[in-house]
Amino acid sequence: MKIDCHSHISGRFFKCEVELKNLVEAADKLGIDKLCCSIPFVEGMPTPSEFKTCNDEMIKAMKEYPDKILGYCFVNPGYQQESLEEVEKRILEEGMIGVKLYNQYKCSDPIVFPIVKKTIELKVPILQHAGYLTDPAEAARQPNISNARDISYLASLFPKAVIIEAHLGGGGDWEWALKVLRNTRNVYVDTSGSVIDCGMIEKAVKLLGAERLLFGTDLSMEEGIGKILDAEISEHDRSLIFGENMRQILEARFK
Amino acid sequence: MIIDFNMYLGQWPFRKFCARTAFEALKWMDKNRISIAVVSSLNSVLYMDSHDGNYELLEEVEQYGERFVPLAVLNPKYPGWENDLEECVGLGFRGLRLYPQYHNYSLTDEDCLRLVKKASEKNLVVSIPVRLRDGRGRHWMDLARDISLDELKQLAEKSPETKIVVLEARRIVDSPLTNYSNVYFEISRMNAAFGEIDRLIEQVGDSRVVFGSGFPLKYLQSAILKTKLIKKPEGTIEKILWRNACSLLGLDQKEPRLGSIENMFLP
Repeated sequence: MKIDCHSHISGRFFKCEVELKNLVEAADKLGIDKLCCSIPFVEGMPTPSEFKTCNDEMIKAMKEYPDKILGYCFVNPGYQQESLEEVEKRILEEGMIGVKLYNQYKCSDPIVFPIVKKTIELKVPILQHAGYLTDPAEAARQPNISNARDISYLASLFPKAVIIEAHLGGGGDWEWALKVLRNTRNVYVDTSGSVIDCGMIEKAVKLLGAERLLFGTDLSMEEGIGKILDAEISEHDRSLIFGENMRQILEARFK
Repeated sequence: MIIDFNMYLGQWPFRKFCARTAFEALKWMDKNRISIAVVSSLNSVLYMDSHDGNYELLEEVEQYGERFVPLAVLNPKYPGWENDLEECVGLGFRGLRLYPQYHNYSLTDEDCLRLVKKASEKNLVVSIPVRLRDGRGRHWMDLARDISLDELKQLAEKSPETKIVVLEARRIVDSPLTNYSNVYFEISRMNAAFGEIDRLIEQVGDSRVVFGSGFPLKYLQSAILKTKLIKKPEGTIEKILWRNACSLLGLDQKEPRLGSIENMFLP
């Protein structure tokens, strides 16, 4: 089983140049069983009306491809009450699988904590956009991007939270991230992103263990699959990364 | 058969590698059914005298016969490149790899244009990696820029007689670079899943696209997957996988050696 824990579809506020049907077709060809998607707001501070629009579009895609598309609820923690209501409604009533947080706030900012508490209550994961960008120009573009230290801090405050650090292969210095997260047991790392540095997956398995790694693409489809297939790891570890770990995360709320 | 036009051997100082030697690379090549690797020395990227890396490369691959096709790295800003070029031809190098981003020059510098012109006079193909690593996570001492498509276009325009293979490029479709018939494109950073490579083939034809992976800087399998997703006839795929590379390098177009890609895995 292959579950892509980090994908996206286009929406009014997020253009990713890939049509939904093409994404589903590509996933089928690559043997990806489920696509866990979100529609984030990648520049600026979305209002409740705007993040609700993102989630409306996400729900529509879930209904169009119920066997393939799973959706994260995207919110802006700066609107606390509206975000909490949105998360609860989308997850309990409309079948979303978790919460997607982008770069509106660092996840170590206390403004995010009520959302984290809500995910613990609902037993769902948070997919946290993240990166340690070593290039100053890249870093300047996302001043509030969370890095592994922010995530590690959050995880230490909320040991029962299930936090996924997004795109190991799209968040800058991935070795730095692995070293920081090594001892933070309640943080998973998704392997998505266009960066496919040879040795990345082997090192991630060595430092974190395959049990904490989740396959993802972030729309870099061949890169996402290829790095897991090519990595010199055991078939058991490959199976955990490709889908078993994410399956357990998704099923946790029903236990 | 698969010829990988974008492989490297040697040391890279910023990160541990899964394969630095020809012997280590062969294990990955065999696993991914790569028959021939077109390689250059990574040592040459950072040596003051790039040509020393070319000697090392030859020593490294000589015992493996036709499994490796060596390309030489020369720096047109460093003295003596004219002699080095002559020597490279005599030593059997089939082409060059240029690194203006690491050797501190522009592709349109006079010295570079002279090198490229002389290379084409000697029937050497010239390959240029747009980058060797993703800038978002670059090492603090690795300040190299990505080569822009515009800089490549200017080189193509000023050196129409030179066969230029652009490695590690993306967003090529609809770019002016596609209009230059002397420019070839390697696929490792283009997507096949959403049709980018198909569109490129439609724009430039199937004779100007070559397979490459970027190994060992990058995993190999992702590039292989791309070739499985291209929606073009088998003849086109064959050209991309090896026939175009043979033409560019002046290699005999022999029978497949390590089996057809059709027999490979897929998820």
